[in-house]
Amino acid sequence: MAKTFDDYASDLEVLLGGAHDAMAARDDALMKAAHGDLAAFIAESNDLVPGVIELDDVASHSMRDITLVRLGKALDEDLDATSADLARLVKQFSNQAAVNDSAAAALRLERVKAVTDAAITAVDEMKKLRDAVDETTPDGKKLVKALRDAIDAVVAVQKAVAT
Amino acid sequence: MTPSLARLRRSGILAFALVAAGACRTPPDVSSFASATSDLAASIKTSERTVSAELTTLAKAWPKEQKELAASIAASFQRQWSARDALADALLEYSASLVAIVQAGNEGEQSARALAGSFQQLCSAIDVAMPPAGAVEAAVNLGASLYAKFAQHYAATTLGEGMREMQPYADEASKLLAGSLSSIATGLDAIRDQIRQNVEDELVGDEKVSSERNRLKVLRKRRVDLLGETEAVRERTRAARADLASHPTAETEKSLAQAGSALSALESEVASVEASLQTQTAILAPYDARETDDERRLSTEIELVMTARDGLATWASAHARIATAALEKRPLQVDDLVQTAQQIRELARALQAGRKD
Repeated sequence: MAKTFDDYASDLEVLLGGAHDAMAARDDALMKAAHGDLAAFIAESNDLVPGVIELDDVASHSMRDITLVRLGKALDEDLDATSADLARLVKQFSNQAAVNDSAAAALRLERVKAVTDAAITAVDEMKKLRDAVDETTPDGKKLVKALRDAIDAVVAVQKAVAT
Repeated sequence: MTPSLARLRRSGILAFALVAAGACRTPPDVSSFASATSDLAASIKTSERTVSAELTTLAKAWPKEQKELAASIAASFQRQWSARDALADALLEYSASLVAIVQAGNEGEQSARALAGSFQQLCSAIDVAMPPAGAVEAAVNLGASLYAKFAQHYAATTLGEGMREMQPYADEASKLLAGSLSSIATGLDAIRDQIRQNVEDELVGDEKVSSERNRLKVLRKRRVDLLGETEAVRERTRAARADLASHPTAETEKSLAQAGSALSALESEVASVEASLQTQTAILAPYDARETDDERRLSTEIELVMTARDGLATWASAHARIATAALEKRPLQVDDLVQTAQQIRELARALQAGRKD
């Protein structure tokens, strides 16, 4: 037998009661189910029965209410519950990043120091060697020139590493 | 070997040996980790923009009171999420600092090799007159090698110890952000459920889409009923025709005429209902298409959020594995994390392509 307005009104009353309980419980699964039930009511009710379109409007309004409660719970209340820990974690990771950056900088400094020490020593030794070479002989001249070039090369590397 | 060259060799070795450590430990490659962190951080930020955009669209045509409530939720959500964005930024900064340590360690080797190269040039020069220079070159190369090992060892140890200390926080951050993304997925699911009804509530002329759909449903049912009736009348016509053939009386002739007339009327009504069905389907087609598009878009958005959420657990696990690999000098596998990052990129691309369509 075809449903009357009263049948539909009675069905909707039950659904609205379920929706109210689901929202009061703030249970997402229950709210989702209640939302689906109201959507099914709108889809299945016969709009040709006088007054049913108005019942559909009531159901539709209630669906939006359910959606708002679902959104409020998920996007506000649930997020708020964990917000206090965030600032502490941000600080923790930022501090560690600073420690890591310091370690990397120290490593780079150590690298510069190591290279600089070695280069300074090498250049000093080469200078001593250059000063000791007799430049009056052809081989001596050649060696002094080679040493100058080598000193320049080492100094260039030292500068490059230091920057 | 001249005294000068001997001094040169000794001092060269000494300079490197001073900074060299005994054990060799190469820092693991953390670039994949940093890249995945970047993808995860990007998806955390994208999630906020996605939800905010969907919320605005969702409530656009709602009654004033409900629209204002939706706007208030959107504002609270943005405020809450900015703290998640800050954590995502901190994770990015942290992963960049891990890369900086590894790079500093590896650049140590490059610098040492560069200096060794210049010594080689020196040795070549000295070799013009002094053959023992080859020994100096070998010594300097050894020094460079020792320094490289020191730099890598220092980087690996610093990296491993630092990451091990941070592991509880990495786990906590991963869990907290995953929970937050779950909340977003729930919110997007609520939007997906509602946005379909929003379309159903739109007006086509004076009627709601849901009423037009109701009409379509009634027409479909009428068509099924009519087809059933038509088949029954057709059967009755066949029987009347057979009856007339075997008993040709005025009564059987009248029965056949009545059945034929009923069949004709039914076929005419079926044709009329078919035409109405086509019209009704055409009216609803653009709304159906929008509902399908909305459903597809929101499903992709939810999938992206869930992938990022699951990726956070993989991220924390990779963090632990890198720390262990650095400390225990073991090869590192973070393929699962790389795969997650790849998935996130693909979903984000699909989402962008869908929005352009």
